[in-house]
Amino acid sequence: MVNNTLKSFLFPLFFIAIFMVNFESQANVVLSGIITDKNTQKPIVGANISILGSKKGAVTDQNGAYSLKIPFGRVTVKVSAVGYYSKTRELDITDDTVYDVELTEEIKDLDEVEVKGKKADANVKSIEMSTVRLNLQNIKKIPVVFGEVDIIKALLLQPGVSTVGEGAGGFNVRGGRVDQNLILLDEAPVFNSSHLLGFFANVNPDILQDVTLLKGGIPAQYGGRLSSLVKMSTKTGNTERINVSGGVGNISTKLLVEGPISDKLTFLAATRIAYPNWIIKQFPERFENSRGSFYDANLKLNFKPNTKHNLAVSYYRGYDDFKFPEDTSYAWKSEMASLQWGVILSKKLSLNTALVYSNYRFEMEGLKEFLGFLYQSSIKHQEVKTGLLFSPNEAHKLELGGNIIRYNNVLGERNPSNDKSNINPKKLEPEQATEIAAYVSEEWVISPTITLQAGLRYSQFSNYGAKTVAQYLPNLPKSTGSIAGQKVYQDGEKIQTYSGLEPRISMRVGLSELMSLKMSYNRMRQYLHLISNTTAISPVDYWKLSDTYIPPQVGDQYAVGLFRNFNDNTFETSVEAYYKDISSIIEYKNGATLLLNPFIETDLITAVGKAYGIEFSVKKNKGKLTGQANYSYARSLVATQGAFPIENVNQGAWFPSTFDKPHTLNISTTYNLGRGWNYSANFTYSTGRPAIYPDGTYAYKSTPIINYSLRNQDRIPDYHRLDMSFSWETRKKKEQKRYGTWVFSMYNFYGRQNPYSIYFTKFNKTTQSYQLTVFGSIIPSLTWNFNF
Amino acid sequence: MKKIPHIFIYFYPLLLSVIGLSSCIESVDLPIRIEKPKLVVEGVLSDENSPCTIRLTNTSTFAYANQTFQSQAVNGALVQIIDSTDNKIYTLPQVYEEAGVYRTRELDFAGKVGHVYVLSIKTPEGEEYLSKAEKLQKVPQIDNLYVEYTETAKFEQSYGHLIYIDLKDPKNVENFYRWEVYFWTRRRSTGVFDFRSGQITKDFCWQYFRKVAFDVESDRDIDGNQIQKKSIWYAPIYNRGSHLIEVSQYAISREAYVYYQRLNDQYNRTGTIFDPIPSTIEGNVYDRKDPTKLTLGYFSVAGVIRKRLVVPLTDEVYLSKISTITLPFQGEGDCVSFFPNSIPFRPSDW
Repeated sequence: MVNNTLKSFLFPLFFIAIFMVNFESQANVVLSGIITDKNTQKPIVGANISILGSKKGAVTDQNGAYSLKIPFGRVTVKVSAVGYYSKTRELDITDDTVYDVELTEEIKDLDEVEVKGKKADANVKSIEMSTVRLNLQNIKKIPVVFGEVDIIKALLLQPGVSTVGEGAGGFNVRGGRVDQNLILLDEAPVFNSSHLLGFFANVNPDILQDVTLLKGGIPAQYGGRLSSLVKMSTKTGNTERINVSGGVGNISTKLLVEGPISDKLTFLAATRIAYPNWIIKQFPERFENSRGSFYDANLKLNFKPNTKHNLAVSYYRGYDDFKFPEDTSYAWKSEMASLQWGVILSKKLSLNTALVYSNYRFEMEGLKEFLGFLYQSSIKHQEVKTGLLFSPNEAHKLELGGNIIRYNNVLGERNPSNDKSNINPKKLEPEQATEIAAYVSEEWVISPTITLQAGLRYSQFSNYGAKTVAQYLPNLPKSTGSIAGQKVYQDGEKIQTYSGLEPRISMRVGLSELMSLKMSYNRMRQYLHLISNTTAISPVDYWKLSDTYIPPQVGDQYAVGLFRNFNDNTFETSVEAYYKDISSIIEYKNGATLLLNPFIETDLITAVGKAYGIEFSVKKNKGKLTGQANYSYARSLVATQGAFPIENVNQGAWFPSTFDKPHTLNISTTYNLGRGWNYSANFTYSTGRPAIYPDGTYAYKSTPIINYSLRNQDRIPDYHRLDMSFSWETRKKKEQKRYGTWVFSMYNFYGRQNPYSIYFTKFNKTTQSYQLTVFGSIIPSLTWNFNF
Repeated sequence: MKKIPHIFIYFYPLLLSVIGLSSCIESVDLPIRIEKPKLVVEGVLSDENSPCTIRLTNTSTFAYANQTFQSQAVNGALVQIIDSTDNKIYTLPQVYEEAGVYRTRELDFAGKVGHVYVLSIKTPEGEEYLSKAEKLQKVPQIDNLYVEYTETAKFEQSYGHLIYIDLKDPKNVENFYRWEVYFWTRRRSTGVFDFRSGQITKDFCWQYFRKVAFDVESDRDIDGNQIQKKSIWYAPIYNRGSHLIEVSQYAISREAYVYYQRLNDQYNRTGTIFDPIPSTIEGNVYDRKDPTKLTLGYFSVAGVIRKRLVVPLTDEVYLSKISTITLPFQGEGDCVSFFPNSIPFRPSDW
């Protein structure tokens, strides 16, 4: 009921908003130009140009360019940007004028640097909604486990972002699955975002310039995942001098070197190496031969031959491994690379092109005598994308472009590892596919109060042979017993094509200077699926492309939000409501075999999902005390749609998804104590996630067996936690370049034993329920970061 | 290989250790739903010349304490085995000493290799159930049954024998195996002082151990190859005296293999979020009126072969060790009453 009401409420709003358009009389001349950094000569994105004494203003685009219409005569122009000294100048305007400005970088105490937003009132003024920009300076001060600064943990404090448990890999956005997040590191997709199974994010936060999460209102330029877009861009190296920074923590050490190679070329190289082995060694004999490790490394080169061209090469490599005595060793590695070329063709036209490569690979080695084996699965993504940005005037911003992705997917391959092994080799046929998309998008400032962004994306996916596709008897559930025959496709022969339009619409209606209403509608298509039958994703899970029997997932999201700032943008508040419909998601039959199963479709069930919720958020951006609080009510439900009773879970009724956590409250604050000292505290509360509790017992061969008859009808107890940290920066003067930062964290301050999972075991003669807690007591940690 | 999805049984405890002393496991009380009872069918028909036994019970509430499930037994049902190859019907009358147990009374009853069998049940309430037809498969030989002496901290009793078997998997046929193992071992207690003879008596007895697990294997990964040094169990050494070990090898159907494997997964759940999502484990017995309604439990038709091994504990090297290590653990009083599942004499059929 709630969903239908919400949906029927959202659509008319779009139309009402369109009718509210009132056109303003046109100004007479155009003032345009490019804003650059004085030292680096790089364009400044998001610089603010305002005409004092009027309501006119503009913001620079990705190339630092701006343009706005103003009346003739004498005007006072103020140019400001985050992290730069602002410039104010009087101009006599008689004709269309080009006014380029160079800004000087402002040296400020770190605490004052505002990295959060591009403009203080951006949340009200821009058309973006459902967007989170991480304050990367601040996340270094927030309390963390083992002193590992973690962007995913920081995202989890935002409304609409949740996880199935502490230490679980990935995250869920607005009731979406972990595989529905498009995580881009310099445009390259990240297929596995964790280290150590999920305890830490696998991207070193030190290298990041910007992290933006879009939960809705995703521009037409991006597609391929249903729930969210996380854009991470890495820093371009320091242009003035070689700079070395790093940090030492309980689990890992980080080092970053950056600087100029020539006046046109800069580099940045960073690495993080973890050493959990010394801790493992402290544990009982059972684990003494176990070992584990991880590292990640980044390299970035930025070449800027002139003001019009910019070429950036970015490379990432992450590696994890684990070994258990006499048993098995596991390794998983990610490799990503991108080449981005940006060119400013004219003041109004720019072109951005990228070559992207991403490869994620999982390996496992069986070490048992006579059963030695090597197993691997991997997914390779190669992409070319290009986009044209055309801004003829301040009212229009037109974007068009497209991309081609080639996937090579090794679903699983196993070979004996030595001559003595009795394991037979087995290989699933690899998958090949292409995904082609084209988009067009227009942002139209209809009036000062109304902005409309309308985009259309068309995507097409095809998979190719060589492949053998099983044919199943109709009118029977798919099983190895109902295979009627097989069809063999030759190398390069097209097997199945899926395609469709993905409309994206966003609208902003300014209700006053400090308040606006925003709406968006999104359709997304996803052609790849993570095959995982566990509550949390694990490295054994593998990616599967859509094929004859697995159609793409399609998601529709409707969202509406009210944004209001108070006290000269000191407080930002917002309320957002959304409703989502998802079709063709994958569920698993009871007892499904997922690994090395050539007939995986026989163990899968098609399901539909829906999610809806409302998110309230308050932020304080200025003053000694800064922070944010947010509450969200959100539901996420699934229903299987099998044609046969055996293919349904809970008889096909709607049931809560594993990450359905209705109530979530997050509070995070930082207090500037002065003299380089800061105090931060986070509090988080959420309803326990759904779980499957047993509802019966029986004996089979004198062994007590617990029966679980219904999925996700129970919940684990609620989760709440308070963390605190003190950080101290040794920098005395603002210009000081060599300094250190100490962070002392206390994670889970009041030692709450939060349930990670609940399980049931027969103890003596009665079955007992047990609660497993991962971080059941306060975890202090100390980290030292340096700059010199 | 079949264990791959369950690596986290080992994986997680280690990670938790890495994470340190902060993780913990505690018993909690939770509200538990109550669902309607369901029929549970248990039975194996083999090619061995011995009666076939079927046990019928109902599920009970989750908190049910009695492990024998006597009160949950289904009595008064009509239980029949249909040999659909020979069109013969065998009726299994109820065994009155044991609630819910039905057994063939033909003295020469034995399943035949290649024959297809179906179990039919009619409960006193009039509900009718049938099992999906299963063909009796011939079981390959166990080539070797042997033990290796080991000292390991993995088990409670760190001195013992690891039991292994070798066999050859037939090529180009799908084979699914299930193993059962039990052993007898000699135990010692302080005994009872007999005043008439002035001697200590009842200080030795033989204790029976049965492996509680559904040990199954598929030849999916090793078709036609040797199954070498397949680890079957661990027999701890408590005292001087032999180990009497018997391993039974069954040739089960693919469906039975999947069933037992799921049962095992459920039984071995460790409760981390890396466990497969738990679900009800339906077997091969269905409601006659609605074949999509499956009961719990499984009626398995399987060829069987058994192999025995007597391990005499004569090796002087560890005999000396054993005499020192076992003494502190000596039980008090009558050996038979001190050790569960024990008898005063060496089992007669060994």
